[in-house]
Amino acid sequence: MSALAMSGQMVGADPQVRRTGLWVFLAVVTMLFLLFSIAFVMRMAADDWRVLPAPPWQLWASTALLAASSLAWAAAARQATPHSALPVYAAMLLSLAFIGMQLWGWQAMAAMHYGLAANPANSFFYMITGLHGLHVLGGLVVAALVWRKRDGVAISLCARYWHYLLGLWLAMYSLLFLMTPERFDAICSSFK
Amino acid sequence: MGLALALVLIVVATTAFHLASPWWLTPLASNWAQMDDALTLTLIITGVTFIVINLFVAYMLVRFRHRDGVRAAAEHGDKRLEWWLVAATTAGVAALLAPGLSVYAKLISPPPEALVIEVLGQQWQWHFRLAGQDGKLGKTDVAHISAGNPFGISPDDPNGRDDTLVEGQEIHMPLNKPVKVVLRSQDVLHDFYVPQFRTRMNMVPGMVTSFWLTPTVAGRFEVLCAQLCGVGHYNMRSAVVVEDEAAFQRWLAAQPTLASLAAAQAGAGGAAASGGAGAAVLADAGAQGKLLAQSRGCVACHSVDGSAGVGPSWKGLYGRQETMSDGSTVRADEAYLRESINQPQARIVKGFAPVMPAQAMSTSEVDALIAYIRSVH
Amino acid sequence: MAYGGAHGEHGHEHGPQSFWTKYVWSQDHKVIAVQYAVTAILVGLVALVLSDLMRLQLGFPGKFEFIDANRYYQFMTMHGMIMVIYLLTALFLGGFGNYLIPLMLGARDMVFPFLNMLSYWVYLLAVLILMASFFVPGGPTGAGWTLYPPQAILPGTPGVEWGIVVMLISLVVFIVAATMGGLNYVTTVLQARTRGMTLMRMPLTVWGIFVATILALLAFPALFVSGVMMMLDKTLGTSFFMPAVVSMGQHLGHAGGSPLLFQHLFWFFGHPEVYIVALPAFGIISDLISVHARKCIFGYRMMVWAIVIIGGLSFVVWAHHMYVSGMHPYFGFFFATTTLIIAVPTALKVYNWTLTLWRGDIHLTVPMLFAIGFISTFLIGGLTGLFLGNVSVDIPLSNTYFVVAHFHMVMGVSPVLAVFGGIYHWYPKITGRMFHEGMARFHFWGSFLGAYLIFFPMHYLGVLGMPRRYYAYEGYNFIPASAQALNEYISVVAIIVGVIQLVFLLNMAWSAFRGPLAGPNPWRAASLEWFTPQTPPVHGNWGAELPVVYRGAYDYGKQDGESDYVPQNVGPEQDDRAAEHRRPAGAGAGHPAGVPK
Repeated sequence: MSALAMSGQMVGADPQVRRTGLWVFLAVVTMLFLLFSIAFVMRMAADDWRVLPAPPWQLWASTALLAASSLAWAAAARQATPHSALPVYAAMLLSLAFIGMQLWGWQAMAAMHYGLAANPANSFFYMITGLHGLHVLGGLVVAALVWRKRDGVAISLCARYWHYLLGLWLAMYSLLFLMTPERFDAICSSFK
Repeated sequence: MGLALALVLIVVATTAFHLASPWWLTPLASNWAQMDDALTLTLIITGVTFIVINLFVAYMLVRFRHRDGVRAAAEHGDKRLEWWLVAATTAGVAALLAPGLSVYAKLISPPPEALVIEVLGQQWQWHFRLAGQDGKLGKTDVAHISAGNPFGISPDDPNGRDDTLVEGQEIHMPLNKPVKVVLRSQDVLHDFYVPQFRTRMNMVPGMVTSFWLTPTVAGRFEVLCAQLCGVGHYNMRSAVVVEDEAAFQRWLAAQPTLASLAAAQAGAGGAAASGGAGAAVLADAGAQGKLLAQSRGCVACHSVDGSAGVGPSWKGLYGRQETMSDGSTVRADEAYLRESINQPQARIVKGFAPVMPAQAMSTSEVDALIAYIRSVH
Repeated sequence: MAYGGAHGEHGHEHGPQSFWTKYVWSQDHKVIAVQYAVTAILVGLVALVLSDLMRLQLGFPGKFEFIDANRYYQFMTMHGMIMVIYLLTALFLGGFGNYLIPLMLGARDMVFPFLNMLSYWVYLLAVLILMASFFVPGGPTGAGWTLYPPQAILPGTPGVEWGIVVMLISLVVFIVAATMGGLNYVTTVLQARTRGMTLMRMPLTVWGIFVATILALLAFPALFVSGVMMMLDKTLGTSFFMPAVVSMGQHLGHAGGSPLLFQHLFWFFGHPEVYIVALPAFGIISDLISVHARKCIFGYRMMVWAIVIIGGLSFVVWAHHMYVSGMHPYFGFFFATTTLIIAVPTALKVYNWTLTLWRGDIHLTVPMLFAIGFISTFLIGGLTGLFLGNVSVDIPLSNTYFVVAHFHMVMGVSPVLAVFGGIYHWYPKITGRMFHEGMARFHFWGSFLGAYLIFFPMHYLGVLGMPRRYYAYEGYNFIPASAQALNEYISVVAIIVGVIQLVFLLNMAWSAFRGPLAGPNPWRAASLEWFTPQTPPVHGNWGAELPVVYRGAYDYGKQDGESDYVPQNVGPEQDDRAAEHRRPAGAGAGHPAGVPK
């Protein structure tokens, strides 16, 4: 039982409580992208599916930017007290750059004639990357709000969230560009 | 006390209602008596449970009502009793599931010799097709659907040329022979439901679904659409006529095939080119209009025999005085008809609802429809 | 359990001061709960009126010209969506959950009060967006609350221009609100229980809402996914759910999509959704029966396990809504089996409620009336589920009035009776006053008997084969004229029952200001929420010291001593049962001392 709570202070300030809250939220986000992935695999079964091309360089760049942002958050979190603003600002800037690079990647895909409605694989690409990007943006808004309070616990929670977003991005990136109907069938038959 | 009495009353009233109810299953007209048996078994088990528990609660409300000086027992539960109840419930559930699944296994296994009848659903009417002498239905694709080819039969598939395309809103089935009903839709979900047959299935665009039955009672059975398909869902009517084999074959022989329809169209075109231009063009335009009326779904709401529908009947419409919803009267001439088709919400006939969807039509298509309406006296 | 050590972080030593921070922008869970409840009930009234309009058409077809086919389908859709999502889900989780969880657990508030406040305002935004669909061109969508494609986004269905878009936006906003609230409820239960309050000492109300919230957090994403994909299909021409179609004579640009994919996603959400509504109701009923029969809930442990197992199983039964969808037939075997399995823990709960009454000391208070009403109506609702869960029995009944009767009984009637019972039960806690007894009893009888009168006969129309979602039934020869008479009768009763609900509203509003003062614990209940220093509880709930818990929430049936129960926060030294045991055997044992209260 939280000593903080017993003393009558607000329990929500307790770090363990906030960590739990974040884990619950991550469970929800996981469910969301898991369901998108399942829909992706189910839709793949139809005849009109055309596999995506090799990803444009922008998407590799954005992956690097997100990884860098994750590192910056880790550095920010490792500080004993949040004295230096540099890692936090760097992390936020890198995330913004990630989003910008993702949008550039969208342009590149469209220029290669992989438009949103042209093919279901394309539709999933834009939809899933778009929602992932929205989660990054949402994280940025929250991060900006908590940074004003120089809250050490919050910084470490932001770091955790960003590591999660990186993991999620890698999973979605692989799914979108590596999973084909043939590979999926191969995976399924290996269970038989 | 009142509540205990109310519960007893509910048990008595619901039981009495069930015994006296004129509303129950329609008379079975197919081979699926087992489905009715499964329903009856479920009714008995659930009915007994309902009665027993309600009466038990009523009893306890009286027996253990608050009396001064008496307190509730201190017990917290009884694990053994709970496990017994779980076991009994599981047994009851298994007793329901076993017959249910066994008839389901039969439901999903049509016999190979079943006659195949295809139903194509469209907002808000039905089309029917049977394979011709070759016993094979021609391949279809939504891309081929047009006014002249409402089934979307692929022109390249030779199997399709002798397919029987049923005119009108009625399908016949032979008595006591298994029928596999194959279902397609060209636009939204529908469901081919004949309550007396018991079995049915949704019709899904982009898929072919099916169910099977053996009709066992001759007669005419109404078809209802049983999957919400838009504003005309409640009015998507058709009928199944079950008759003996000989009558069925006679009916089948009278239905057009794809090949004969195509020849008739070509013939009409030829007559128009050769002479009697005016009347023949009119007849041709009328025929075109009729096809359009069917493919665009107009006939779902506008009858041609004067019967009431969602929209005004076209019988005798042309030139008639129509009363509008605001009380004014209008002559149903060509200009009025054109406006009614292109802007259905502009003026509404009194007594009808403003539910007609606006459809993009070319001038010649509207001409054809008007020609058809004129021809319906 | 959390062991904090952070210093220099201040809680709310001072409560909110101004009218605005106390009653509008409040972060107090009790205020937020009332905000949720009032909003949900108001929007529920809209849905109630819509249902009465539908019944006017069904009972008196064609007599009310303004209820044309378009409007009928729009009313039907909005009625369903409002009732399931905006009323029941919001009320059980946002209303009951917010009010009761911190109080029942001995916490000062939810763990994230600011987020909690936000969740209400986002919910209100979702409601306003939904109401806006009445005012957009073309009106609200008429696609049915299940919003199946392709018809939901094709011409021929009302609201296809704007209504469906507005609906989808509103749902997405609601899901954001539900996630914010859900985070609070789950984290509070896991982290903010007071000392001594183990998970297995929590009242079943909390267990019901807790598991329901977990379901909501994991199931709403499926609705989100299907909503986003449908929005893209509608607005940007993608083909997630849209196959090639010819709609009203036009070949549309979609191809390859699967309407069944939508149905799988929707019902993966939709089935847990009904348990999101049912589980809190189960929990509340357990508490009502226990308190008002003065007896420990029968089999608390099994009741907890039943809630958890039902919650888990609810994720593997969804395709029993799709037996006639055209999905692969083999799925029918699997889902019929899982669906009938879920009947077992559910039945256990019914047995245990019933067995709680056995050898109880039953006070037929207003909350108890509703609790018994719940047992009876949930019983029939659940039993008809056995018809529909068994795949081959379902096939002729699917999409008929049998289904409508079933889900109204099991989702509409019994959980709403639980809502009423719960509101009456906790009313003295929330307001400090007692409601008017006569009006409340009248409300009970009208609603309980009315529900049976409306929905019991409806099952038979379904067995006959009358399809649901029909605007009119003229011209169908297999339907006897007596069925139309029955529809007329059902409509009249439905309208009367609808009007009777005004009595409830009047009672609640009037008694809050003019009802007799109730005292802190008029029902002599044992759970923690009744032991706040002030009634109604003030900001911070517990005063300087948080309570400590020594026992479960159901210590009733005490045989000796002045009172027949021991509150949760009473320790063993204060429990005069212990004193009795220390006396020599035979003296006073087994005889209640004095007249029990």
